Amino acid sequence: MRLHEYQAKRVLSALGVSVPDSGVAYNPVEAHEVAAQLGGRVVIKAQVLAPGRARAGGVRLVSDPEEAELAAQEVMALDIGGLPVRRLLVERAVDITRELYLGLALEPSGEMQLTIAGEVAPFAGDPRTIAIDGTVGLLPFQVREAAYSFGLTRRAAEGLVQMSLSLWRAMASLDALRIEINPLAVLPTEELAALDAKVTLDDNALYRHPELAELREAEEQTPEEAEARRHGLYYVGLAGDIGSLVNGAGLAMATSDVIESLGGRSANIMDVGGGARAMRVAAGMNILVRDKRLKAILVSIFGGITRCDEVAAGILSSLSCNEVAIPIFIRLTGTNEALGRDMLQDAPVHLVADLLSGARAAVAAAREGL
Amino acid sequence: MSILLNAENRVLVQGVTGREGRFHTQLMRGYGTNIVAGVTPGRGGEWVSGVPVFDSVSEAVLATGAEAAVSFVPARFAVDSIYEAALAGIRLIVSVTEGIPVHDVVRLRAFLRQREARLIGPNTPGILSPAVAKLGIMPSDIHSAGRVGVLSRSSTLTYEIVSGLTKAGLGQSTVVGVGGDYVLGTGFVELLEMFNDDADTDQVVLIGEVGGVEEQRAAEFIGSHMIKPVVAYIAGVSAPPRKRIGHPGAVVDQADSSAQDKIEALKAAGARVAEHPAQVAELLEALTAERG
Repeated sequence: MRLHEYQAKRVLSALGVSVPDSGVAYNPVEAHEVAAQLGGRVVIKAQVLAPGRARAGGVRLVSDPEEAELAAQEVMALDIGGLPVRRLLVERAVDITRELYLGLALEPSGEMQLTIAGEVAPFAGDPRTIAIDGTVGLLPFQVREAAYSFGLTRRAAEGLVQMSLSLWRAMASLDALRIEINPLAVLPTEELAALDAKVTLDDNALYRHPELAELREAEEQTPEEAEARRHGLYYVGLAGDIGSLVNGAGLAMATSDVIESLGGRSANIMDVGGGARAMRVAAGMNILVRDKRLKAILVSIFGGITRCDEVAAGILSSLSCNEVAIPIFIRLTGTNEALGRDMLQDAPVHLVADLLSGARAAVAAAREGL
Repeated sequence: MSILLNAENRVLVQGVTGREGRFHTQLMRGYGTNIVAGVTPGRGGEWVSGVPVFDSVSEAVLATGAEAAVSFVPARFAVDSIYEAALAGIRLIVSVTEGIPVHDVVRLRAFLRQREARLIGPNTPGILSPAVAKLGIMPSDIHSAGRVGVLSRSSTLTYEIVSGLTKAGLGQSTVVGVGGDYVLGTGFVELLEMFNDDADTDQVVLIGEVGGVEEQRAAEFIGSHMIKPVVAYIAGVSAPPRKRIGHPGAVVDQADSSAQDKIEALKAAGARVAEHPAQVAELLEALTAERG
């Protein structure tokens, strides 16, 4: 789970990371108010979890509340990476003498690494990566050494040490996988301030951070993703016209890949999970049959703890309450396969022998449907 | 024969009285696994599918000499149960549990390394050596005994590919799921090493997916040390960046965690890479034909 900038800054600032004063605005009038409270000269920043925000015009520097209101109006009209802008961070503009990058990541190898980079001359240089020992943790000298090699003054270097230690502690206390401060500004006073913050949390650990789990509501999701998550499914939307419903994440990706490798265009990757009951399968199927883009649907089930009869029941339940005009190809293998196939015998679906032939049929059907 | 386990290994099941634990204990015994004990705190003295239940792992080890453990303990208590097993002298622990926090696994793994205990998983379907034994939840009937070693980050995709191997007459020596999580107890490289040294494995199938750099590490090992031919399949060529695809470990968050990058690394290391799951068996057969 990724946090929005305004959420990340709120959480990190409580843990000792200094950030400029700011407020959140949900409309241009609020942006005007917040800008006035902050003295007028502010940065208006779109709060969307999509890359390329600045390039898309989602970050604007303004000098008074009237300008802030106007800029807010324009930014809120943007569509950034396919996502609408519903929220703005209105932040006091600061003078910057240097910009740095500071990032902490827990690598899949289990190692934690701190990366420091200087983006702007005279500090531009190779990024410094510091391996953090699992037993003793981040050592101040490791950061100090890097700070001086980037030419920071003593005051800024000590600020970097303190901020790095705060972030390192935040990784554990938030159960974060990644925290990035980019840019990290050196102010004319030689103090440091985090101008942007990206935080990725471990979904598996959210149960012990109820306050962070609540922030998920504000996370960006398409309606399909939100619907899928409500039913305990994984759904990732793609740009194509062939929908798929699969049990297991690896097989779901493989199914989407096979569709594309045969020249088809996959519309999604959907994993109904292990041991899915009819209700969950029906919920997944509903997402597909209501997707107006689709020209064909491929269901691919390799039953182990998932039972083919439960899958069949879910499909039938979805078909009974939706009008479906596109062809549906179903491959059922494994636990209770014969039973599942029998249940679907009279349904308006095509049973196929294996993944490859199902994908071929779906690709051909989608092509004809053009 | 097999890597990691044999038919004589005495196995205990943690979380044996839960729904999954109970169900799979029966299936594992049915497959020939030498299950000697179950552990559920507070349920000592009961019996599950003919297996005595103990309150603690140390009690179970003392009474039965258990050497390996498979854990079905729910995520919030799973890490504690793995520490318990390691401290009671268990040297091979298979964690089926899904949803264990990553930072906990990092600490756990460092601890286990010091004690020379091996963790497979978490979030793994387990280990299966056809006609020998299985630890975990892999379906039995799709496997057949043979000389192909299989290692995978996935579960149903593994079943898909293994069942294709079996249909093609390519039996397996051992099938190992390393788990779908972000940080793993045992990675591809250690298992490739074992298959490389295993007298009963001739060829290896590696099933990977987007996220992390396990496949690239495996490619380095294949290029420099692997004597036996490797056929790989990598899922997620069509996966978009920055979206988690079911498995916590399956996120393209860096350029080098994409499926394409992994496929290129494996090809450069000399592995054959299948374009779709059914092609894995074909590539293995082609390799056998080439080598005569």
